[in-house]
Amino acid sequence: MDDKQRRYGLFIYIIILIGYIGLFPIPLGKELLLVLQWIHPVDAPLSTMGQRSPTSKERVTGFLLGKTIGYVSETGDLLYRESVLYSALVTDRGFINYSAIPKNLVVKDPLGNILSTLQLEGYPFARKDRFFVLAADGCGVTEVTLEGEILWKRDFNQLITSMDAGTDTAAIGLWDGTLLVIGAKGEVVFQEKLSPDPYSVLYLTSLTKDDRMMGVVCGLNPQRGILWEKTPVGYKRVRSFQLNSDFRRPIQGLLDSRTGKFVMEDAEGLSIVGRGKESDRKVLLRERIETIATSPIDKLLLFSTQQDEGRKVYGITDTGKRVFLKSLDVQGPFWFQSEEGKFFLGFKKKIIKYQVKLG
Amino acid sequence: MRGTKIFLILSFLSIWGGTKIVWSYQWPTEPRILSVFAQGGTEGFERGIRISANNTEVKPIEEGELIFFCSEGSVASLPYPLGSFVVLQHGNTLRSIYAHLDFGNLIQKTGKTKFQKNDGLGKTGLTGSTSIIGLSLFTYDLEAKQFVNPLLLLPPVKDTSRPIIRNAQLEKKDRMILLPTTEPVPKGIWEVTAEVFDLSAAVPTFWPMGIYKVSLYLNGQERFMVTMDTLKEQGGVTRVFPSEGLAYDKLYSKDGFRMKLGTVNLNPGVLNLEIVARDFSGNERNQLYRFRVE
Repeated sequence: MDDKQRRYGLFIYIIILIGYIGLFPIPLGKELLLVLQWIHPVDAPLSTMGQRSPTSKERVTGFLLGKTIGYVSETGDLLYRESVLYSALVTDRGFINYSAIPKNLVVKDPLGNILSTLQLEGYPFARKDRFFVLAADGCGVTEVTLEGEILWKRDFNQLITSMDAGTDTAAIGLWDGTLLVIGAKGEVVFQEKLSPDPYSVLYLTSLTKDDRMMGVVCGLNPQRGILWEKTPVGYKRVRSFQLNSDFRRPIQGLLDSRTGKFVMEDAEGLSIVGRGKESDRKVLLRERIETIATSPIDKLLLFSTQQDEGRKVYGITDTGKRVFLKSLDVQGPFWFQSEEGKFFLGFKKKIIKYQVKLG
Repeated sequence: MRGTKIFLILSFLSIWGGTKIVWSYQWPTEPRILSVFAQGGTEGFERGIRISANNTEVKPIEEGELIFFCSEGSVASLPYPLGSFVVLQHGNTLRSIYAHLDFGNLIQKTGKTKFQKNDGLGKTGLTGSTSIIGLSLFTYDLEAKQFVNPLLLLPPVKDTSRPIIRNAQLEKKDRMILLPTTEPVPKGIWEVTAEVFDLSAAVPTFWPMGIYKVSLYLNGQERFMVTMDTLKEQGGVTRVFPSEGLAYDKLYSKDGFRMKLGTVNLNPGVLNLEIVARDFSGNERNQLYRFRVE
């Protein structure tokens, strides 16, 4: 056998080996799987459990699906249901169902019992576990508790274009390109004018849950992203990067506490940006991103998208690797929420719970 | 200061009949005004003006670039009571907001970012916190960091009705005297308040709205004056300028259009207390109260 024949034999052997591995792959480890937990129709009769208050150990999940507010138990019982007046803030601890011109905001618990009444006229919203009310002209914000306490109130005499909250602070982006970090009593603890450019609007402001990192997307031509890290005296910039997007509306995004990765919608899909350029990733999408969430237990980023054919729910790692994709033929009302290790979908008058499991 | 000067000049021209050359800005719709700049809202000054217009196309006040917009119910955005709204940048200094519009996904779909004076921004709508179809218009001076009374920029509106002054009263911690009075008033320091408002010509029913300027005279001497030109943040509080920089709670009482017109030190004798209110079109109302102080 000469050299030529030997090389030819080796080549054939490699081809057969590749073909075998392709046809009969050996699992290298466990994979994350989506496991259906339960499906519950939204218009079904209320559970008898709804006649008593859930104990503190019983986990309930609030949902807002189209014009219906409701709560489901961990096992899928429908505990409470109410029609939306104009819009609603729904959290697991309680909800505010408000009219278009609210004279006050009534806070109810997951069974519809009144918890408190807030004498404020704006619209309520939540950031992480904190509650705020945006003033009627969008220039002021008030932090409140579900028990009806006003923690602080500030008027900026400027349009608030984006906002997020951590545990102790809240980050507010204004339309003149000013970023403010507000402390627990409403005091300004950090302030930076990002650019003197008249086109410097803050389209996205994100804060990690532990207040450690902060990120924004601002400006036009080009749009830029900036990341800060907390220091003993404030925040210092750790990265500034150019984006190829040209959004002139609020942008979906978040800063992941666990990885410090800044995840945001961009012109081509989704960008995952870290402190160093080498860890940047892109997820190319044809659809428009609706919501982005994290699932820290699984170390996953979850997001839903919308396009003409329906919705999709993606689960990806922070390196951009897709773990799962669920396509749904849904055009109407849609609700998506991620909790630790599980996530909920609502569409076509049904609430569905999935669990992410190793399998 | 530069911004303030510019608007004072514009204000002067508006009052004394500016020509068409000056008015480079246009009304976004027919100016059927329902509320005016810096009038008392329930939680603070109104920063814009409210216009009633049924299903009408809204045009920019001047050519401008779209820098921010929000569709009602958008998941990514804050829940703006402004409903669906558009923000345009005009040159380097001026911004305008057109709120409570109805534009669906039009702006997103077209991707249009430059708007000429004849381009539509959407239709007047009922989105957000409003009960009447129309729009709210806000104008902001980016350089001076202040909301500017849109009436200072836009062509004059024909209005012949005079403002109304009623239920004027002298107030102290423990006492209140309604004016006019035939009873002698005890000497001392009193706060003067009155319901001062203009009536909207846009609706046939009684529809009070704010005024442009209010003054208080004691025996012919000016003791108080406020003009609603700009709203600016100072010391963490929004104040009305160019007058004394009054904060909302220093100018308005909680009950509707009752305005706080400052304090006066009343000495014994017969006094003339005069309240003068003027709307933006220059219509003026004088109310004179003559009473004895002991």
